[in-house]
Amino acid sequence: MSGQIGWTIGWTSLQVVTLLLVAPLIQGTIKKIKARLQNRIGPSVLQPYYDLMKYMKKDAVVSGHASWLTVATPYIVFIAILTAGLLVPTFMANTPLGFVGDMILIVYLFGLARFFTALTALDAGSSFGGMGSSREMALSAIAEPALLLAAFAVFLSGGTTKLHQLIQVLATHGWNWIEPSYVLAFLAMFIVVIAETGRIPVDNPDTHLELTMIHEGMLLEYSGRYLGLMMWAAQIKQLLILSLFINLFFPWGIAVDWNVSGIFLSFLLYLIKLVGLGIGLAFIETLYAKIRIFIVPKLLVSSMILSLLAILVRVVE
Amino acid sequence: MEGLDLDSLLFGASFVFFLLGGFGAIAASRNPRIANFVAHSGAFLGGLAGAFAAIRVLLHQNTISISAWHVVSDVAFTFRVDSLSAFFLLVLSVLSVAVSLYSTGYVTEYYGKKNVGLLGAGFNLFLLSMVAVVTVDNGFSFLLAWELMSLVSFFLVMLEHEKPEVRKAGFVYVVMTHFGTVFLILSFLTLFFFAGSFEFTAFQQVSPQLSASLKNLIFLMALIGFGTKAGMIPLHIWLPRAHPAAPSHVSALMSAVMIKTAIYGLLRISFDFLGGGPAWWGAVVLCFGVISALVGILYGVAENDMKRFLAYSSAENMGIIFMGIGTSMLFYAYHHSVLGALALTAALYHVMNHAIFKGLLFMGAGAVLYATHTKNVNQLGGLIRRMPWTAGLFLIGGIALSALPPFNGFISEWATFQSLLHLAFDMENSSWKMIGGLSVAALGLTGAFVAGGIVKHFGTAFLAMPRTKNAEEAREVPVPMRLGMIILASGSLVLGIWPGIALRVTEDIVAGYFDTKITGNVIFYVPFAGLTGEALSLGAVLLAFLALLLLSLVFLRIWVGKSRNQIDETWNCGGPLQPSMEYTGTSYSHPVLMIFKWLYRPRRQVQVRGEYVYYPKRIHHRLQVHSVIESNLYRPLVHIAVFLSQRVRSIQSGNLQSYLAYMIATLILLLLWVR
Repeated sequence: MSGQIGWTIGWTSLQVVTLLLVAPLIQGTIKKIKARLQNRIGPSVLQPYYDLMKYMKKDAVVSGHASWLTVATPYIVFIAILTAGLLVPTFMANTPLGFVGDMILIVYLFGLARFFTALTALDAGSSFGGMGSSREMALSAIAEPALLLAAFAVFLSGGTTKLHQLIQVLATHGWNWIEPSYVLAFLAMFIVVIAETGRIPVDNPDTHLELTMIHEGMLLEYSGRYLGLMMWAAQIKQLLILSLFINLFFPWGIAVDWNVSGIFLSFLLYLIKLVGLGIGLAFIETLYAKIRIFIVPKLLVSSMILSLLAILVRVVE
Repeated sequence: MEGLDLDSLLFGASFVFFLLGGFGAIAASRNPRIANFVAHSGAFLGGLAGAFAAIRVLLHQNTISISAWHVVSDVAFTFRVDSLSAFFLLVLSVLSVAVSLYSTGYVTEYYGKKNVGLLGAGFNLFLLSMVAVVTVDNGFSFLLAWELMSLVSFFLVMLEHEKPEVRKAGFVYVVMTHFGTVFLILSFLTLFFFAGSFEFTAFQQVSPQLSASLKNLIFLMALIGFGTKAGMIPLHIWLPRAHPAAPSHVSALMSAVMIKTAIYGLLRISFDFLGGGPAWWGAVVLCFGVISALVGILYGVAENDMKRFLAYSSAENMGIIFMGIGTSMLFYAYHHSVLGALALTAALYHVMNHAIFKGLLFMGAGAVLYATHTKNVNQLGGLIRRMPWTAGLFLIGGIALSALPPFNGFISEWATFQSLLHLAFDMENSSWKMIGGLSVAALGLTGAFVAGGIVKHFGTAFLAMPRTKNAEEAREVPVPMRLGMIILASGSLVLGIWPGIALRVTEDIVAGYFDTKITGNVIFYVPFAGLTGEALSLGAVLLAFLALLLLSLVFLRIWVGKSRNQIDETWNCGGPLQPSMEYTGTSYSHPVLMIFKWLYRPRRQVQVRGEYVYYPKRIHHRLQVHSVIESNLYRPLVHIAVFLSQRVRSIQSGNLQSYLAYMIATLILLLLWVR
């Protein structure tokens, strides 16, 4: 029993450390690739780490109009995302908390983080916060079911919402490019990945003080450690969404059981897949301009329709 | 009285307490303080007794039957509390305990303005009628109790009848509730016609002999009748009017419990009397559920009146409950008993959860109203500093309503999701699979909109700077009001972390219809028996959350030391921040309004005053949302009704001779007919 507990704690800390350390790396990689594609040198791949450390060590300025929510929210958001991370498979098909939660819980933990972020954006009374918050809630209302639907189009083949079970099924059956329902679900999920990670053409992660922004608008009042936590949380969330995408559509070589060389290989593959996906995202960010905010729902609805088509095709088969 | 065991005694005691509270309040109505105390302690004790009786029935799997009063052989007031009745009795009793505690504080608002004795009596009578609705054992007395419940609630809605909008709300309410009751009467009369008796047992016995089309007719009439009370869209129009018009403690009860009696009735008729039905019954209920959930919350998000938003969200939550019931009826028709049991459990769980968090939220909105005298969030702001308790408790209710972990709303929504997904996973028929997939999308969309609505209402009312003097001068509400809310808030957390407790309460009902128990370990873990691997435990997730939180706090402390905060002003492009610069509720929901333009048909008027357009002195902005259902469905109906009544009016000449002539003509026709 005590061995079991120790084992679980070890496994959990491995997952947590992976998330904490890989998330800024992926952010840095995407930025670097984007810069190179735009003929810039760009900051170092490690820049997000330096940024986070700098934020963590700085004093925070808190608005006098704000309440306790402003101080509590960064912790709630950071931990909620990290807890969701215990349910998302990364380089192992298994997850530390997989026995008590599933895909729906992941989406709702993201929802919890978003709820507090959007709420606190209103706390200081600044119009920018309100603007970001109201846009975020309106768009996420459509992005959330789109994410659920796209995932469920794949889940139909496993008949369960448990990710670790599903990924084992997917990993053993292999990937079948010919199956039309997968291709449709893939496209649908890809749109959601862009929306949920807050990237161009939906949102611009690099702007400050532009009226086009969504997520950054909510963070304007944050500084110091609180901003650091919020940024880190956003990076981890991006990593989790990418991991979900990778493991649902490219589960090749993921470690299913505890075998040291298998895990090492699986971890390397996972990093390669992440970087590959990052290159894809950077290409899209370079090729497209940010679209108008009221066009975004149309993009997300097209993702939902693709998912429904995927479900339809799957059902008719 | 048949047997004087403890269960019947407790059940009888709750009746007696409610009656004592009601009559005592009238007797003491000269002194509002005493009337308030008597009325609400009666309701409190009645609720306690009822809750104990219900828990005993549910845990010991027995039934209470009391025959109180035989008027004539068919018209009897007999009470029978089986597991289904006991479940609804429990929900009602728990709410009556919390709300009556709250009311002792809330009602002080009405001292010297209204007759507190009458209000207290109405409150007790309302509770009593609802207890009767879910426990009587006879169609006739059911309809009587139903009508009593509707009328008493109508009088409570009309308490502030000096306001024109309250009168209008009351009128719409009384018309709609009777529209629904007509269908219920028809449905029960059809059953009576074939059963030859009003007894519920007679209804059960006769139903196997009824033809399929007759069963369909009874079911559809019951669906319309109960759907009206449940606020099912498009029969919901009374709900967003009546709930905000009523005093807040009454709207808490109406929204938390009264509309649930419709769920009780629908389950009684469709499962108990008619013994389930064809799959399309389930599909109809499911579709109405989806429409109610989506359209309800979309209209809710556009509201700036806290209580109207909550009322629309009740229509939405009833939609989610209908989705669960519809899915369970579908599975029932296909003999998927485990999945059907899961879906019904989800629906019943949501009944309980919605009662708890919506009661809490209505009490919270009432507390805001009590402290600031306004329900319009655009006139509030910054209340979290002046009303920290109310703010925190309202936030808990809001998180639960948004179905976010770790509160109870998540569990029932998760179970509903699971049932809908299994519609897509396990059904043989591809059209059901498709419906399952679509409903999943609809439920996801609904959940996200609720969160948006809560952020909007909580954010504008409680956060940032106060926009008006009322909000600036708000003070925290008295302790009894806070206590009432604390009870429900802790219930919300407990039912989220230990769903096993709730499953103990629902498992008998579900087992009665599906021969499968959906149960869970009380303490930690809910493995919803039967569905391999579909386990969920918010307790474990919360534990992980707290552990990670503690670790990261310790780690940050060691790594970078104590956090140093500096208080400064909100950054506002260099100028000082004015309350008028803050985002209001109207501006908050604007993106949603624009995205769903086709539904809202917003009408916008902007008047700029001042010498230059670019430097206005004052901008008058007006945004109106247009209800498609009301203009395209109800307005034509009202026109037809008015037209018909005008035609009928021509025979109403006011002339005595012509009335006598009508009588004679009727008499002759009758004589000819009976000849």
